[in-house]
Amino acid sequence: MRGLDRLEAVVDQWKNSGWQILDEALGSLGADNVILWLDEGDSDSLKSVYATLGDEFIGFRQSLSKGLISQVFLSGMPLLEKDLKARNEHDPSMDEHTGVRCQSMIVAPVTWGDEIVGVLSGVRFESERLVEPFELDQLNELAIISKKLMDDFEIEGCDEATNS
Amino acid sequence: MKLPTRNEARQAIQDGKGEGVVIAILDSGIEEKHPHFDECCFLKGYEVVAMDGKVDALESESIDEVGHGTAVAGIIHSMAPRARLMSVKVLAGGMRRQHHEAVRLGVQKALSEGAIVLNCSFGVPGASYSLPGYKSWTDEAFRNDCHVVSASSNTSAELPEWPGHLLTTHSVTAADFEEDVWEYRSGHQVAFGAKGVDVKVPCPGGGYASLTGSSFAAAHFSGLVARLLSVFPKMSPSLVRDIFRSLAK
Repeated sequence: MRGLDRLEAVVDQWKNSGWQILDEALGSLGADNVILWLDEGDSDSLKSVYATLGDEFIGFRQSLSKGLISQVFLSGMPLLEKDLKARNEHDPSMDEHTGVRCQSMIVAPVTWGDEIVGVLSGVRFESERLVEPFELDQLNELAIISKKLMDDFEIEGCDEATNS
Repeated sequence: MKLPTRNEARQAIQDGKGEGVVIAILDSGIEEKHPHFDECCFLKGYEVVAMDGKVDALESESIDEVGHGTAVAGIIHSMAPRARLMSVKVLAGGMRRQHHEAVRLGVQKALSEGAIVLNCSFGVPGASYSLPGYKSWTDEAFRNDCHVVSASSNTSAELPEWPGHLLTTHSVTAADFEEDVWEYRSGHQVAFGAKGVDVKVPCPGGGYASLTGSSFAAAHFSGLVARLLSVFPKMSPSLVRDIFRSLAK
């Protein structure tokens, strides 16, 4: 089984048992939504596979030729953007689809074994009230969470999926 | 070679403009037509591509679809406006499965085309199998008195990252400093901190954004190194590291 197929099998397994580490990250980061994006392989895009806010944020594809999350995926370096409106290449397609606009975003690479296989993004939504943007501390914390994320996978369960 | 006194080095880092220094930006390309680069001197650019089963660094018009390289180059140009910049595109979606090879070939091309500073605002998980490759080209740059400036996210010293954790590079993480300020992090694998918070950067399409990240801290540091080298050329990475260590805030 290809590496990414194996990864998808692991992701599917974890959907059932929950993504506790990401749900906890929501609180510790002060984020409104945390999304896990994975490399979709041949399509040259990242796909949202889990979102703390629910299924309406799952299944989006982001081309690797644009967007902040693509920058992080390709460079392997975490990024923070405090004012997404000011950034003309921020891809608003998810915002438009869900009706919720993001104001501030933190993104960190996700590794599995020796590869960068996706990114983890946290966002704070626009609001009528004053919204504090993310700061460097939250970016560093997200980078630590994303590095630990894949450590929690139960590889034994994945072996069953790959051998079936 | 005349070595600087502390004061001379400090003055050079403050006032140098980067003349005579070629800086290779190994990244996602650069949007050279952005107004921010109106007075920037660009050398021929290259892109590492896979064709007919082979991977090679070919001369290429610089296109940055994703914006990372443009941002990094923008910072370097602001810091060292008379340095000559060379875009070497090694970060592209289509090359991600051959990332290590792309970087190696890009570095080879940059060194053969006269780059003295190699800005590497990227990192990969520090795997044992990829270490020889990264060590090989960072050592080669070091031996030839070329300066590899590498970004590192610095999440944990236990989670290695290449090339940022290779000690022959000037590894840099983001800090909330002014432009001309840096810190030396004694005992840390990532030696330096430089401005990487709320950095105004050019982005594709002609506008600007304000971003935070180690990528931009590395770019700032590359600019500082270029300033020093423009006044005191041919200094070794060891000597430059010592100078920046001793003059840190």
